[in-house]
Amino acid sequence: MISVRDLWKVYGPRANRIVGSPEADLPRGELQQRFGNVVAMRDVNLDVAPGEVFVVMGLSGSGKSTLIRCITRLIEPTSGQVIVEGDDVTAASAAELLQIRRHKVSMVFQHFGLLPHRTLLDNVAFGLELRGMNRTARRERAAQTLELVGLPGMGDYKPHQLSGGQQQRVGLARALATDPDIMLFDEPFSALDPLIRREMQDEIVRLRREVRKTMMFITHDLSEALRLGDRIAIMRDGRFVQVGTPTEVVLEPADEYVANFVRDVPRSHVVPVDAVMAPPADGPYAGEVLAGTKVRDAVALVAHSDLPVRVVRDGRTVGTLDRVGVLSVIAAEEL
Amino acid sequence: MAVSVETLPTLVSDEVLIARRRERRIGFVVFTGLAVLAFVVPHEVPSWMDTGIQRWAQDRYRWSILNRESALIFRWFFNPVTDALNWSVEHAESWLLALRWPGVVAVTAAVGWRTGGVRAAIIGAAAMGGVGVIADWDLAMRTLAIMLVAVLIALLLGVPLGILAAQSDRFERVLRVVLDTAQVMPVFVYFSPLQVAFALKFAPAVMATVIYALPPAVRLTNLGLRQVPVVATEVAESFGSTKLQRLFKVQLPMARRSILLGLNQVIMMAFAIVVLAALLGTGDLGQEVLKAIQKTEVGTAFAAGMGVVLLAVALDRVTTGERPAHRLRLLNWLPRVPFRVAGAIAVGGAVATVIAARVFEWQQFPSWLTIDIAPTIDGWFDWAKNNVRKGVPVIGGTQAISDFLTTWVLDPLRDFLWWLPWLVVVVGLAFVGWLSKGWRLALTVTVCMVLIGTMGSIPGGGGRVTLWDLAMDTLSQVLVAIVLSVLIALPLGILAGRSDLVERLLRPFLDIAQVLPQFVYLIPVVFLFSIGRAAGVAACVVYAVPPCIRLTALGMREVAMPPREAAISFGATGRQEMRFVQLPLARKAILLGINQTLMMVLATVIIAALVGAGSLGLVAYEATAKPNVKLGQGVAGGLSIVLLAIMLDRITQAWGTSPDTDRRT
Amino acid sequence: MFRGKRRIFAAGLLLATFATACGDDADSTVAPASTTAGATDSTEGSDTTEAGSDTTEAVADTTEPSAPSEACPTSGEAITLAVNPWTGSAVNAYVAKSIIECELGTPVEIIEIDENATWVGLDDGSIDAVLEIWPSGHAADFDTYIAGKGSVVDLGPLGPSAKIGWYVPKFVVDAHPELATWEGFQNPELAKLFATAESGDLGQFTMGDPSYVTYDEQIIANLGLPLKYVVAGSEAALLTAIDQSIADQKPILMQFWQPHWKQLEVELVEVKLPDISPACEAALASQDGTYACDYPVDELYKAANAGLEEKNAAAFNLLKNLQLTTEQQSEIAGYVDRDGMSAAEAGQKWVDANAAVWQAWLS
Ligand SMILES: Nc1ncnc2c1ncn2[C@@H]1O[C@H](COP(=O)(O)OP(=O)(O)OP(=O)(O)O)[C@@H](O)[C@H]1O
Ligand SMILES: [Mg+2]
Repeated sequence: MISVRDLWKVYGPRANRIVGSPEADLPRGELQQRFGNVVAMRDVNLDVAPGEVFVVMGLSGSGKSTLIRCITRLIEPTSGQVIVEGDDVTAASAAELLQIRRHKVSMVFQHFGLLPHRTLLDNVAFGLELRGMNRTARRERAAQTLELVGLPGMGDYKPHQLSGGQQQRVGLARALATDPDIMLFDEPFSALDPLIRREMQDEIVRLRREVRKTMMFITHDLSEALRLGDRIAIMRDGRFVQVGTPTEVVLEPADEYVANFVRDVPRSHVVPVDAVMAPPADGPYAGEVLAGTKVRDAVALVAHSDLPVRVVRDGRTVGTLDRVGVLSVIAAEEL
Repeated sequence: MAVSVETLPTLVSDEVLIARRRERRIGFVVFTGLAVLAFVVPHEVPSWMDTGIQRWAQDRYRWSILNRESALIFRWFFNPVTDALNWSVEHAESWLLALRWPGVVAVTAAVGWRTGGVRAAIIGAAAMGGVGVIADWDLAMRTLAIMLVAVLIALLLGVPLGILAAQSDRFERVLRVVLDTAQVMPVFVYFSPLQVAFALKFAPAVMATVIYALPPAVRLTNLGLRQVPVVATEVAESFGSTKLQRLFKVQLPMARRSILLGLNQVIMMAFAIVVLAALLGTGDLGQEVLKAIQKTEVGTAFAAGMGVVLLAVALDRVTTGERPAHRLRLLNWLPRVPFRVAGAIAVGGAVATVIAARVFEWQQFPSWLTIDIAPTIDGWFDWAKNNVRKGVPVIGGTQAISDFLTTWVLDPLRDFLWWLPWLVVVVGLAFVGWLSKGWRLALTVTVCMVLIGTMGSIPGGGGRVTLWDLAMDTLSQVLVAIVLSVLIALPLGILAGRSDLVERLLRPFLDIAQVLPQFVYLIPVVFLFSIGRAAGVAACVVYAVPPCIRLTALGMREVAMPPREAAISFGATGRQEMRFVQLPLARKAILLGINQTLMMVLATVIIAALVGAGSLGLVAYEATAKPNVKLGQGVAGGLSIVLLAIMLDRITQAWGTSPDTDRRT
Repeated sequence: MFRGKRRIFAAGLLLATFATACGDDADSTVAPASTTAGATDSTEGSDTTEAGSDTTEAVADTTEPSAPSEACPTSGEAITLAVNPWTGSAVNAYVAKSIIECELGTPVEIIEIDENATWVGLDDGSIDAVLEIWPSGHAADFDTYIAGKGSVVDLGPLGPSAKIGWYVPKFVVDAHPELATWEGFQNPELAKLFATAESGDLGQFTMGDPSYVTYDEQIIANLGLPLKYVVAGSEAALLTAIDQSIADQKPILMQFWQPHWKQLEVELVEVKLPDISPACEAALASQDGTYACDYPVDELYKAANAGLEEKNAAAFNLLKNLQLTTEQQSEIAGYVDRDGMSAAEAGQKWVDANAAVWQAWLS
């Protein structure tokens, strides 16, 4: 769905000569001093499969927003290639680019990016308006989407009349309204309260499951990343230091940086039951869990009875899980 | 500047510091050397530098007089435009007259209601009615017709130009020079040429107004568009908007405030030269002012001038009225009418009034409603004559101030500038430019000043006087006027920026001072300060203070709440919050205000010449007075004023931008 | 949401405006000439407007029986006369207007305009004629348009003459009789009476509007007077300076002229300058900067667009023949400056009373 090849973004004069050169590896301050350049993103490669949620994490300033903006060339990459649904974005003409932006991809912005002069309804309908959808249709659709994000009937408000969290939901609604195959999220939930955030996350999960949207998702919240992400990429100084499933990232951090990053994650939240199950035996069982269920979610079942639990995949029993297995995971958590 | 604060602390290594220090040392050495050299070469502007621009301009003028009937540019451009302009103004006038006064007031109210709510409607209608009360209604309608056409044209030209300027930095730079010229070049210089091109009455008057009033429309459109946050354009782009969609759906709406401010300024500027345009025979309110001035009837001139002001206020309030976010409390009692109904009521009301006006033959403004304010004003003026000019405790009165200014400030400054060899002045100003921004600005300043040297000389003082010497005379006056204006305007602006009450109190005075035709206060200024340069300085100050107050107050108000709240949360007192947060953040706007002050002062140099300031303003004025012999001189004088303005403008602007901050970050 | 309604609203307003405006046009075509002329004659100024341009005073005037006669019916292409901003210029034009409208039946439009702006209008025919030109101030215009391009023709002398000179208020001469002639100013002590902050140790000589002719700088230099030439920049500034001088009893020396309404209001005394010598006449011709005599007398003249004769020969002839004596002109001007009539009323009053004089112009 999205493939990124050797993508670089270098700010400053004559950015091209920095790409791939030894200078690019200079410390940030020195590079800025000597050449006036900043390497915001270097040598990024990634593939997001259809229906996948790809989460990007990393410290502030590590280049996450830069990456996500380069996907639709809001920021012109210095070098490299971006392919979206088979179209080479980096080589697209202006007209092609418009089509991609209008129909294939939509984006939620880190700082909301609401248009202050438009009502909420018109903000949400913005993408549809650009597509040329007629007024009644687009407003109707915008109203539905507003309802979806929990702001029913507020269509006539102006953005400045809303709280930060409400504004963020409008930004979300705006991206949802155009219903594209690919959605890009730049810290979409940072300003939400836990309840709403949970609801919104559920919405993302639903979108992935039911309509199989492809998503790139930037977040600083690790539990959110673990909850939503099929894969997680960790960025540092503009490059990917590790890309993998949540389990991989948590259980096998690629380096110290990543290890530090995931240190506080409770293993039971990440480790699936199949990773700690025993080989199948013949009953009796206290119940069954699906393979892939996180250990945490199996705790109640196992704790309930002395008997082990059956682990099922595609209707077949693939193993058994007992208290020992569960406890071994929980015991390994650093508290 | 006292308020200068580095906005972004940049990390600078020793290496760079050393390099900077070295460059600084080189600069000092270079400029000292140049200054010494400048003392050695001839102290006067050498005559071979005269480029003959005077003769060139004079010949062009002569050519166009002799070829008015035949030249293609007249046949295919000037004449059709002239006809179109005259046609527009005449029709606008006949419509306004046909509406009758109740109709005009009703339409004003209706438009005001639509754009700015009930408040704007009331103020607009009151101002429009007030025109009839204190001035001649029919003459006022002619003025209004001219202004409507001129403002419309200024917007039709100005907004697109502003949009283009916002797209391209290079175009912006070029355009800026053109706009500076339009704003500062004295109207008198291009009056006669305009007349040759567009004949009499309305067409040249409209053109002169457009030229003078166009710059703010361009500038503020450009500024507004450039201030739209990058995120907003990114959002538009991310959803696939074309350039045009982005412009119309995002950028222009978001720049609306700025563009409206531009419209406000266009209106103010346009009305400010109504009286000058009347020299071309428009026969409107402006001419009333002129006639009264000719007879030194201050009160009558003031009444007609106030008519102009009220017209401007009415037009301004109903066109730029902001719909208040919270409706007036009183109106909450009324049921909320949908816009269609409100619009219908407004239109219906207006039409009904118009019809009633026709049926009941409300031909002219009812005489029992008119008030003659002239005697009152004359009374005040008489009082001021006796009590302000002399006998004021401590300061002695305006006459004493005037004498002091002339003898102890203007004279020494001018004599000093005259005494300095001309190249030393050039080098010195270039040095200031270099200190302010760097080599580039130093070069700009040098070019401006040397160009003044190439303007040649004119007869005078029993021999010939170089334009350079006149420019030094003007420069000394301008500097004094600017300093005085800023001293008066900054505190008031800061006050107005922090207190709604002060702002509301000041606003009518600012409107009046800015729009009241300068001719009106010509006589009081002469009487209070006596003929001479001090009177000229006073005239400049009156005119230049309002925009400075306005922009300072605006800058103070536009500082976003979060940083101010942050300061208050740390326990800053009101004053500390102002000093550490509001003022530094408003610094740009304040410097823009100072910059505008400067432009206003230079634009008023010409009026100063009418009260005895002489120098370049007088030379420029003579272009209108005796175009057949002195147009060339006038052009040279006008250009010198423009060059001075650009030089001062670029230097003050440099104070407003720190050298290494990037706009987009 | 609002845009659609806004458009409807705007369209409505526009329609309403159109409707009323057109309606008015229909009305006003019924008898435009008579209403226009009648209404506008009575006010000095708003003549060029169309229907309904009467002012409040006009209403009051027309109700009085003694108001100027209702305008005469006119037809054909209007003749435009320029009025420059002084009384003399206005009364000449209104005298002519009355006669042309009533005797020749041609409508006359008056346009009030700056005197320097007049010439370009004369050149392209947007002004047909101007009846009072002071030759001293317009030598270059004469050369350019009358002698040079030929687009403007000289209509001959108006009759009255005018005189520019040096003036001081009477109280100055009362206190220092020697200041009645230029020699008095040779005395630095006396000259210093006229000193200001602008002129420093010298006496100040004040010039008004720089568009008027001036030899003052030359005269001061060539007579060696301890005076400094200062340009006030406008006539209004000069007049104010006179008021200031009278109020303070502080002497002022300036260029001024006769006739001028201010002369009726304050007592000014002309300073005697050396008589015009052959040397001075030569200096005037050669412009060599050696002029040192009194100002020559200005013989006022009239001028017209070269096309006027073809456009309306009768009017052209009348304007050519029109002549007033100095006494006649100051009589009419007096009605305005002294009695407070409008120029139109004053002109009409004179025309009504002096048929014999102007009948001769019609031949
Ligand atoms: N216009 C620019 N010029 C120079 N450097 C820039 C510019 N824009 C961004 N950068 C730099 O690029 C780097 C990456 O920025 P980016 O916005 O992608 O960070 P981020 O990972 O999104 O951070 P955050 O989590 O705070 O949003 C930063 O170090 C920033 O300083
Ligand atoms: Mg970011």
